Amino acid sequence: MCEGLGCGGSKPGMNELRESLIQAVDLHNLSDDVKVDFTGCHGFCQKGPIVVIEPEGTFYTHVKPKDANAIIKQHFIKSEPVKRLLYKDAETGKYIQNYDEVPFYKNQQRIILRNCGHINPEKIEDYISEGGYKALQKSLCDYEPLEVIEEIKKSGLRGRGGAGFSTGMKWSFCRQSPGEPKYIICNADEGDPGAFMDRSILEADPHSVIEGMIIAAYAMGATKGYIYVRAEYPVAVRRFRIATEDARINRFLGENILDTNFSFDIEIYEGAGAFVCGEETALIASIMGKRGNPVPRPPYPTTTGVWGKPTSINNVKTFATVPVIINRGAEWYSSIGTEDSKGTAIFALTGKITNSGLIEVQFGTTLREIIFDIGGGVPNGYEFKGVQTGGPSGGCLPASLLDLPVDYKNMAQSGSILGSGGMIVLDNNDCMVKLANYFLNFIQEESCGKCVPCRVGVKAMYDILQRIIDGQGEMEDLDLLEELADTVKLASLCGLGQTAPNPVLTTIKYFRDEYISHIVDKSCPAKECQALIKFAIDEGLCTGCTICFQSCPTHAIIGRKGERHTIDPLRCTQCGICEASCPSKAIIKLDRCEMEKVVLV
Amino acid sequence: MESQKTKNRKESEEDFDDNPTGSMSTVLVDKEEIDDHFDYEAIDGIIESSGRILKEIQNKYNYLSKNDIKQVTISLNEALSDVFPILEEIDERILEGIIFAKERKATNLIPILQAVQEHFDYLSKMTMKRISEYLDLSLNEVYSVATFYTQFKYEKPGEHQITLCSGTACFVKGGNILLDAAEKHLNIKSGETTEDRMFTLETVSCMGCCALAPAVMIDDEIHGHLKPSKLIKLLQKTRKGGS
Amino acid sequence: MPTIKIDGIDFDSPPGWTVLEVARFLGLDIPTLCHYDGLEPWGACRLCLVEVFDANGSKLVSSCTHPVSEGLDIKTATKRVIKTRNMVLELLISECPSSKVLQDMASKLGLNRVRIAPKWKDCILCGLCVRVCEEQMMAGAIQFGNRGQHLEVSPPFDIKSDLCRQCGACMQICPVITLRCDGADAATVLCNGCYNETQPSCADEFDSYDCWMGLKGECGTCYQVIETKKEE
Repeated sequence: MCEGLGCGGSKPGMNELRESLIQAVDLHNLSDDVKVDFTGCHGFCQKGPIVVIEPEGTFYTHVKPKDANAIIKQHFIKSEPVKRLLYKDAETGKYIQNYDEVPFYKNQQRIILRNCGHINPEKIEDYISEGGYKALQKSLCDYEPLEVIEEIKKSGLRGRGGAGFSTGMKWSFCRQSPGEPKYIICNADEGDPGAFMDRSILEADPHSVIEGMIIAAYAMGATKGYIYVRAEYPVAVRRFRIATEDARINRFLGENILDTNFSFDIEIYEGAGAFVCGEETALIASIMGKRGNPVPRPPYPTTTGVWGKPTSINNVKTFATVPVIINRGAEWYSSIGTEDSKGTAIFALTGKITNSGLIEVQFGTTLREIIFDIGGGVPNGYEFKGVQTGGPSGGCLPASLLDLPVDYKNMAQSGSILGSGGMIVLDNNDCMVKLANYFLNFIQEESCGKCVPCRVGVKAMYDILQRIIDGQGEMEDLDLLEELADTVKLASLCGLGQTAPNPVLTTIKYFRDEYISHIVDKSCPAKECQALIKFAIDEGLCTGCTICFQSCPTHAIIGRKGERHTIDPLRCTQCGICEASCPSKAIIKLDRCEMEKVVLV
Repeated sequence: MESQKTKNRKESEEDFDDNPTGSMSTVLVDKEEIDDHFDYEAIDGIIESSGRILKEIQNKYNYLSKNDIKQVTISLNEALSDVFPILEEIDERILEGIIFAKERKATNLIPILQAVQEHFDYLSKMTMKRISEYLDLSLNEVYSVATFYTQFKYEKPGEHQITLCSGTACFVKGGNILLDAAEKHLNIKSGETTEDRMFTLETVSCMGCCALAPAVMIDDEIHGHLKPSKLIKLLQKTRKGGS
Repeated sequence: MPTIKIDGIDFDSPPGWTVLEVARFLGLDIPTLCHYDGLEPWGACRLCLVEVFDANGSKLVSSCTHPVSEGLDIKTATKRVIKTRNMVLELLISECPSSKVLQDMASKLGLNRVRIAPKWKDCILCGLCVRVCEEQMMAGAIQFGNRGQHLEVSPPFDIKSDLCRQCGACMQICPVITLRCDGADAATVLCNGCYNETQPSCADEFDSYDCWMGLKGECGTCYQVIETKKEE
């Protein structure tokens, strides 16, 4: 019997839940039959904390420490599930007991996330019993290094870090480059806001990454590996450290791995909070203890990388896929996915979506299937407006592109990128201009500042968007914005700058009317831009609870307890705190047309 | 003297029981670096007990939070202050211990800075100077590298760390309003510390718990699905609990 | 020896050269700012962009850092290059309109408008002073601090470094330290552009350039003299 605690240490009260489950098991004298264990992230974070009873796979959601007793008592002693904690299907209203039948999981194909939520990440035995390290044995004993590269090439695996360069090609470049020793780096500096799959894999299945790295090292003839993890992920670092130590004890790492003459070891390197270090050359500079400034390529890291030696940098997900390909063969892998994008892709589905969490689907799945079938659509009856993919380097795709099959080629054609795989769903309350502005703000904070287009150009674009948001934009601004975006895209030194204008370009492309209404009508259709809206209180809905009164920082709300409140428009700064705090949703936003109407009345 | 020592040890053990923590401090105090008049046994005792407690917690919870480590720093300092006469000297010894624990090569700069900050919460000019001396770098280079990374701080942070997530998922769910509310409530801007040194307000680009958006981390605990009014209540509660 | 094609010229380049070196060798003019002979290429100003053509299309690279390789096909002044380069210069001038080096470059490249609000900063963060201090003076007294929008050149904690020998190399190399001539109206972002070939020049008066300095109307001095004489 196994138990999964979704979302590891990120939720408060997690330790209490485990404690109370253990106590409940002891209380009912079931400690011989029931084993309370923890796993990594299940991906269905919306419903967390999650408890899964295995082997039959009963799926409990939103479990609180006080529910522990009920689960143990009812499930094991009475042998019937605790109904109120089961997953409830929103459409049919039925309770679903089994893990695999939940629509969120049913429509997925989990290859990279195969073990996530099934094994204890801190126990190497769990991983081995799921077939772990077999691929390593197979490649070390049955394959020559070149055959491994051939196999990966045949499988059509492309880098999962964002650019989608062929992994097999990269490995063979690195192998052919003169210079010893060779290095491999696992890039786990996942800084994209809204993407957390690398963290989940490292927390839930670190051994698959280690195995992938060893196979890669064998194929390339590398002797040393680094993994560069964000310092913001302490749990991932800790679990990975435990995993490397276990692997060393089991002789998967170190001198003469599995009694062959191949030696390899991994060093963990913690990043120090710089998004730009996800860029290859900046990452290398950071590992060498310097400022994380990118340098122009060529020379590529495959010829001149860490300490000037050939280095291959691959993403966490790429490494986690490698063992499966070796185990099940390149042909099997290349049968999944589309013509130019093989295999599966992981997405972090967040934003205005019913089931947010981590999903894995094969390439070629349409956005509609991802967002509506797996994600369950937009909650609270709002309308789907668009989806932002690939983080700050990606773009916003409108509802008209919902039937676009997701793969590298289609995404690039639509102006976005697959990127790290973040997918933020937006509804009609989200202003696209403000979103583009948000991403530019992120880039200008995170840019290294070395090259002019990225440092000055992005700032200039940010200033223009800020003007538009403040209602002071002009139509010429839009042309200048597009010209600036083109320049930044073409002239920037590294990938960060080259992709930075994507959110602006795609929002202008697909949501141009929204920009125009900001500039010409001075109104924000989504009612999000503070300078273009006014707040008012719907007197019918206001209950006079005084919560808004208390939270208003400028004391602009007038009204006694129990009475209808009003907003003093002269004092109100449109900060939106009252709206977010109001329990009865009585605070409404008025755009320009509505304001005029109110004045007329 | 003998009884004093055992008493010290007992006290320190109790300290650790209250704050169930351990620390990586076993490497902190280098025996050869300590002059003869220091009490080895007492130091060993403190370190031993901290190590033991560390293991217990690790076994029990399988996890050591940053807050635990922070608390142990405080208790370790208290315990050691009985043994070392001057507090500054302890800082110096600990600093040396942390620095000397890493190999002496320039590429270790960032890990050393991280380890020092983990312990002292910030990088002072003195610590940076010591690091530059150890690694044979100029202070310029250390400063230049450190300021590139947002993780490093140069001022002592407040007692409570408020970290707001400004990731995209939190942004579309009203994270900016939350930040606005916190800034106005505490009367500081993001990245600053309140005058009474109670709170330090910070934003991070993503905490990776987008399903909880908008999320705020207060000290080491993540609070999700927050409203401005709820956040302000949490802040008030934290302030009361702390003082 | 790698054979490359630059602006249609086939050239056997010595190995290890950069595109910029080849272009300068052949007398092709590529404007540069952060490049300086004797310092390691830095590739930050992006003014030396050239277009590289390959099977997949083309892309812009900085010529000061791009090494030559067999079969490289390069054009130094395509429409795309010029448009992008001018925009980059526009960005640079908007940061620091008081620099003579930038203003001269603007006149030379024919930049005649700056649509971005000027910031009137004192530093364009080209990194020349940092590099000359470290690479040529072996001092390393000034360094980059912070990053992104907060990037600055400074000694640590803004206190003068012990390593500084006050050699003045940083001042000598700085492209911003030479101020532009203010001319009649100091508040304009672009100066009057004495270099600017688009303005009426002596050739209008004399039908051809007949300059003892070998200039082609860039200085504009004669024209101004004639104009003032006419007015008198």
